[in-house]
Amino acid sequence: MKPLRVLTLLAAATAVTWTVPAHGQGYRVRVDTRFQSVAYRGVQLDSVPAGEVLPGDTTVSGAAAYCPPGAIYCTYYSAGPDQRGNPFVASVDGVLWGFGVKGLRLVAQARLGWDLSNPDVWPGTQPAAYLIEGYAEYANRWLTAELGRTHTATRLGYWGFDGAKADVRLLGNRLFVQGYGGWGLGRGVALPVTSSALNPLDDLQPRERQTIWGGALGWTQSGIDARLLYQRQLDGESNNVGSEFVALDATVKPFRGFTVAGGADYNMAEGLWGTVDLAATLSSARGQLSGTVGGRRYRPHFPLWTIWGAFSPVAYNAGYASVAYSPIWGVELWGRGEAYKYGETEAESPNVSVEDSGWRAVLGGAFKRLSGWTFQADYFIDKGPGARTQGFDIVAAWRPIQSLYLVGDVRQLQRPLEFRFNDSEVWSYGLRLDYETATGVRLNGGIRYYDETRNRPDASAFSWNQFRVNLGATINFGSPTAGATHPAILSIPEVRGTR
Amino acid sequence: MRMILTLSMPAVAAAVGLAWTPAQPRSSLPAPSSTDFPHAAHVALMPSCVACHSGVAEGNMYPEGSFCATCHNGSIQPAVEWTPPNPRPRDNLRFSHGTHIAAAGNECGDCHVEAGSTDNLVELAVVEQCRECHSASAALQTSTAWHGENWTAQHQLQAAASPETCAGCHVRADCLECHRPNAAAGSPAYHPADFLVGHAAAAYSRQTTCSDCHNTTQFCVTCHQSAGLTSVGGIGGTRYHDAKVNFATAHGQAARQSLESCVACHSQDDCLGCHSTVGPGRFNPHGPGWDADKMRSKNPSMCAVCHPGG
Repeated sequence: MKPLRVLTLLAAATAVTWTVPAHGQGYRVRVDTRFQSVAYRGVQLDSVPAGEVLPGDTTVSGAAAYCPPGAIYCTYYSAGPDQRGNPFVASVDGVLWGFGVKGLRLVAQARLGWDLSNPDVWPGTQPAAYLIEGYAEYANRWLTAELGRTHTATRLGYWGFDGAKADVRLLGNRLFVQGYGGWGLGRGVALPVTSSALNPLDDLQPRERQTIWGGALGWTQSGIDARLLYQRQLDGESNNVGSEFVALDATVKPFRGFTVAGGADYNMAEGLWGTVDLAATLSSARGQLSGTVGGRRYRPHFPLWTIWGAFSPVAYNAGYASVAYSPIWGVELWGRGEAYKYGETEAESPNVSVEDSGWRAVLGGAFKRLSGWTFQADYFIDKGPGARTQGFDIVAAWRPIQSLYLVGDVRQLQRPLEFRFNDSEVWSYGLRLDYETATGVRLNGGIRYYDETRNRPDASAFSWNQFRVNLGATINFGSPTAGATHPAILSIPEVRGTR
Repeated sequence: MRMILTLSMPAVAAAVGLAWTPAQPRSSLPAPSSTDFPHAAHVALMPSCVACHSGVAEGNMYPEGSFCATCHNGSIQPAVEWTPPNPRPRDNLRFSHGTHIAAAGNECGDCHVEAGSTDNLVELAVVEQCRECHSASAALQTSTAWHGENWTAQHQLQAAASPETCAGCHVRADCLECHRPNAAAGSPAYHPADFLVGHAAAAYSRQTTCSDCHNTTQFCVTCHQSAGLTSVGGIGGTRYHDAKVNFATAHGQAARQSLESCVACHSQDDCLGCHSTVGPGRFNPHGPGWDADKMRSKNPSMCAVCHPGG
């Protein structure tokens, strides 16, 4: 859909909501807009006649070249161009009610995005506009039903679909039953799997949308919440199974301050266990000390309209622990560590050594004893197969008045890769401002100086820097009954000063 | 699809416009529950709500059953057995009747009687009514004031049990600020400012599940393509993975460990050249746990990509 057409329709819808007498009805709209100017540099593949390659397989400029035996040309990678993206993204999220039936609402969320410089630079700007959600909802004490473009977000992922969903709450909200079904969208995106935007490499792709249906059965009472999930997708053309999962999620709070949460999913299509996790958290009565220990197993899953599942991705098993401690008011310390190891791949080779385990940790602290000020520092390290990251950040935030928030930070990180010579070191310095106007409009903006050095043992190494800029605004508005703050309410201590 | 969407939007807009007629009932949020007590039958006897609910400001919502027996003693009125209803399940919504009475007066009906009602039908208040005084923006900005400390960490149970309650104050985007970061919402950012250059480590081992928020094809592949990272000429044509000399011929372990990272740059065609019964390599890609029969029963089309002869 052309952006101009979408804007016209949105303008018309806005005009309707503003001009039609709204007595008896209600609506609320939130508009988020954000502009960024960000650059990045990758690599570009080039070639050189084999006869011009120097001994040691380097080009005249010193870049490492790859010369297959007998090849006329050798290839080499040089630093890619400085590509600057200027994406502008807006999302409109609205809800309307008051159609004469209690509990009936219309909900819609649309997203518009353009890269103002080059549409090929920034991901996710094609198509320029799409409907994330748009459904009619009816809700009462025991039922919530949705019809239209809606979604389900569970441990099986974020899946949107065009269809219907119903949640039924029985036995005083203790028993929860959910069912849904429709024509599915791609995972984590409001586009069908047939969309060209989801096929940048001209890969194998379904020719028709899949159908998706599933359900949940849950039990909730004081301290216990458990959900049994089932979801199945069928290929629209062949009616073959695209994916089929059953999963369990549970949270138990046996006593105040102690929580055990966990879950597991089983891939019925492949007959394999997927991701499993279990964690226990204990917090002291006054919240000064809390700690979590847990374990998890992560195994990716792919829809069966791709061949990736046939390559037998293996899971890794991880154990982790975290602790947060506040020795005195205004001082907070935290740390988290995780170690993991992949399962047996049965594909190890003496020709290439590949790491099969890793660990990651974060140590940090915050100081908040000066009125309006927060100082925070973190050190992080992530060492694992494929890539590593380590560095630190130092942040100072100042809120002189409730509506104004200023943040400055310094960050540094190093990032070596395992499979390619392309180590990177980045220093960045940022300043950010958030401000809420008297009318409730939230504005934000930031600027960041970014200095990166890309290290390689050849002439393709480079150093560059850039400024990154972002500007944004969030506007909330609604029908008159939702818009004003009664003077009496402003006298309540808890609310005073918040507007 | 675009045509359908294009055609449907004016229809939706028109439907909204037609349905947007004035003078409908004020609230359409989940219907508040009428209390079981026959308030309408007692209204003439009681000068005000606090005649019975005298302790409401202190949190004592209901009178004792003996209070009813003042009239319902078997002689003036038939005897009844009345006990206060069970308290609501404890949640984190922070509300004080006393504070509101002090600020707004003893106008119980403002919250507990539907506007325009003439039958004194007392209802439980719904959060929609809160917004008549508390603005939406204030609700977003003062979650601590509304919900108490540590609400962020504790709202899972209630949000899962009764999402329609949340919807009284929050649009979906409010939830998505944390649960599915919105590209248009700049604050708070989910990833730190320099995440782009450092994301490889988190992505390789899926520190968090990227695909919960990003469609990895749309988001990862398109960006890698712009950066020149996607494969050109199939496996081994360029020696991109130059830190491992024989990577093209011995990449199996790396692939099975981090297949999601591989597919962020490689298409299925890259792999089919060697891992297919019709290609020159015919290297078997199936590894631990592979159940060919189950896969064939679920989706034979997938098998046929590499085994076209069955």
